Amino acid sequence: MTINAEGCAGRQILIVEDNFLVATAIAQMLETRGFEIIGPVGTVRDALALVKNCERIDGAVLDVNLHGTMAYPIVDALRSKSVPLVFMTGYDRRSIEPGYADVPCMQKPVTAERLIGALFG
Amino acid sequence: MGDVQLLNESGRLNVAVQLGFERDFLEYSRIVAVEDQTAFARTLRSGKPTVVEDIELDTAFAPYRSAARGSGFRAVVSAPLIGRYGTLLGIVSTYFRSPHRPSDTDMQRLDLYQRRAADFIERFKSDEALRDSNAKLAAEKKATAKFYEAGLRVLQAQSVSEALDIMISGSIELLGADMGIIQLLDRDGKLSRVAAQQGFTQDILESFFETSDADDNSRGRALRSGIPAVIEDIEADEAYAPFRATARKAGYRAIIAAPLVGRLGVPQGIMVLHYRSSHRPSDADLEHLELYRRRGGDFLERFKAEETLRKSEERLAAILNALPIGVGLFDQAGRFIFRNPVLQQFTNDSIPTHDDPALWQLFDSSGRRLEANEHPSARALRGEVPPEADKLTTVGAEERWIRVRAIPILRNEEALEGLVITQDITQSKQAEIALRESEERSRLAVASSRMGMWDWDARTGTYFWNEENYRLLGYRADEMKPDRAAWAARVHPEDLAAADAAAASARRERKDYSNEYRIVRGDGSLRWVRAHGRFIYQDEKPVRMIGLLEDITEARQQIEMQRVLVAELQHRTRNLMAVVQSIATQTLHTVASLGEFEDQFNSRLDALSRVQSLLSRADNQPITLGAVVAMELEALALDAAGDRISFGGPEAPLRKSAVEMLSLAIHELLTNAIKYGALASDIGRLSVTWRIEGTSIDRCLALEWVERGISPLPRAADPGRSGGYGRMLIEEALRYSIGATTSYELGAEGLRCLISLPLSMKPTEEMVA
Repeated sequence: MTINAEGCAGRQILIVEDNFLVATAIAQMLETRGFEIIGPVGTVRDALALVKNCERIDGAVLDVNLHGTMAYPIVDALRSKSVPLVFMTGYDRRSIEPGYADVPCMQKPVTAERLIGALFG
Repeated sequence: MGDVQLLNESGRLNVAVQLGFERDFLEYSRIVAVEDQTAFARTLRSGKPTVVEDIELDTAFAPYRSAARGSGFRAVVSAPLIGRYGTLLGIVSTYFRSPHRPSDTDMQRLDLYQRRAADFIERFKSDEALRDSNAKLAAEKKATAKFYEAGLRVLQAQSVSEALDIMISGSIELLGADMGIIQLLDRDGKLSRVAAQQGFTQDILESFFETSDADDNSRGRALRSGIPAVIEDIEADEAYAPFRATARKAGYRAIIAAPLVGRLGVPQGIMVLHYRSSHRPSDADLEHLELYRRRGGDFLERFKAEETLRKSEERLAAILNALPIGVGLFDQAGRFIFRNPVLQQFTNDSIPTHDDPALWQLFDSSGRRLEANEHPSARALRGEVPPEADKLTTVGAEERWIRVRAIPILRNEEALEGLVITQDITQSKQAEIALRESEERSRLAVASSRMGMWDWDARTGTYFWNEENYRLLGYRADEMKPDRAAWAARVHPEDLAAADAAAASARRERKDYSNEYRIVRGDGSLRWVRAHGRFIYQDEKPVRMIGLLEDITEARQQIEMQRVLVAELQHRTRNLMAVVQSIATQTLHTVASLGEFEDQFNSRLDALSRVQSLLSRADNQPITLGAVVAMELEALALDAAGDRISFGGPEAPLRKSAVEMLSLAIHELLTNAIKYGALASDIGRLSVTWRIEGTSIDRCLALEWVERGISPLPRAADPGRSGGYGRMLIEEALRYSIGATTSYELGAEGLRCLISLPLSMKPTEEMVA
């Protein structure tokens, strides 16, 4: 399924990625496709604050490992709000804990199409 | 007519010589008794001459008249023969056919004659007695000589039958017998077959077989009484009647049966001599016989003893010769008295210590070479009972191991002789050596592999652990005896059931046991081990399990580390791709042409590449800020403008996550300085310094980038381009990625950029990782 820019307009995507360059690149990719970006943030603490404070989150892209801290608490928070999310990692997907194995996992580097497909496909 | 009658020893008269008589008178005169009234008798009684002038007139002579008439005489004159010492020797008588009265002259002459005759007779008699005595002596001497000669021949005899033949023939000769036999008594006291004989035919001999000593024949009598039995005439001996037929058939009439009795008085056999005519042995014969039979008994007794000894020695020799072991007996001087063939292979004439100590290289049970005086045989001669020793020797081209034992043969606590016994133990020794080598190899291999080894005997339930096994399980070898409980106590509780299941499955399926599990030692330290084991079966039942235990903790850590490293590399590579992707996108947004993109993108990729190389080279060593700064300066500026650049600061290790972003930021700063700043002109100066500030809680690394002598115009004229990207990196990316606070002041006199990196954020963890 292909989602055009109009279909995505106004959707708010949370980006959690500790590498600034990667985070801004993804943000740019999504912005050019009409998404609104929440963040990006690079720590679990900042991400949890955003999840808590944002009234509306349509989707989330999470780097699994944030400066050595796993992003699972963010997953838990997003799940409680039924926010669709996708993992983005440089590690093998087997390194993800069994309880989060059902979260779609994308290998870096990601493309916008695959990311959107994983979130809203 | 006349006669001379001599008195014999019993006092009877015997006619010694006569002249003119017919036979009848001699018959008469023979029966004359001393008390008779014959002329002789009267003469004998009176010791004086007697004259019967006319027998028809002499009344005292009346009973003998008819005999005298028959002889044809009428008158008798008898004179006694009286020896020199008055001994009456006999009577000399003259007879007359007619009545006769001798004249005095006649009587005187008669007296003279009688005296002469008596002298003569007396002398003659004494000569005869001497002759007799000499003959007896000679006979005795001859008998004795024969006896000793026979005795000597018996001793020299090559066999018992030859000796017995000599004995019987000698006895027959000496006792004047015609035939003879010797029979031996067997162990039960029964007479055996005839051992020696002379003069009998075979069928006669066989009749002796049936005869036992219970019968009342001569041998029976002799054996029962123990002394010789003599049967002078079998026809006269009533008790012998049952055997007469045999005797007649065999042709003998008299028997002497003599038991052969040895020194100890035990009858060994019997010798029987036979005579064709009736025979009474003389006292001398019987005396000789006594000697013969005792000598014969002695001989048989000794012979039997020798025979027994010889047979026993023969048996012993046969055993010793046939034995697969070496046996030898040596004297006090070390010379062999006896060596069996096996021992002859290894020895010369003497025991080795007296012969050639080098010949026998002996080793004790611990393998130590023995000195010559420690050899078992040498010690046995000193009266000791030494332990066995082993000897290495070569028989032919083959190397053999001989086990040597020696025993002293003591008398009065003094070693008189020694007995040496050798046994070829090559096979067992080789097996022992092979086993020892094999065990040594296994032991060394196990020890060098630092593997634990366990050995479980299912039948006794006992365990063996080598030292390493104790160590692996966190025990000291002297601390306890190995058992299942001790092992199980060390196995991680989560792994115990699986380990037991693996062993049970290996046992059931007859496969090797292989398992990895965790050990929790007494001190709580955790080790991973790998166990390999094998069951040994006997009669379809597992009787033993032997195996090795290997500490694989390090190996597992290595693997884990490699896994982490690979994951990290993968992660880093993928992140790098994302970073490259991002740099490309960002660069694309700030360039005016593709040429400019290529220029800037390549320059940034170079910087990225340099920092990646720095990161990969660094291993676990922290990368310092100085290294990052120097790397960029060296790459871009030092060659061209080294004299206008100064940089320095304390050793300041960076977190890995900070290295990449910081070096990219410095790259942007330096690129701008070269393009537009201090290094774009010939007069500008660049100073990069850093210091550590703050207390332990909020410690930070403060870097100051100062450019002087720059023309601010070109940069001010184009602030949105590469300068924009650089500033974004500094002001946003550093803050975002590593929590840095930054300031960027571009004034008329120059540029001053401050970057302050917090050092307190989990520095150790990340620097190590």
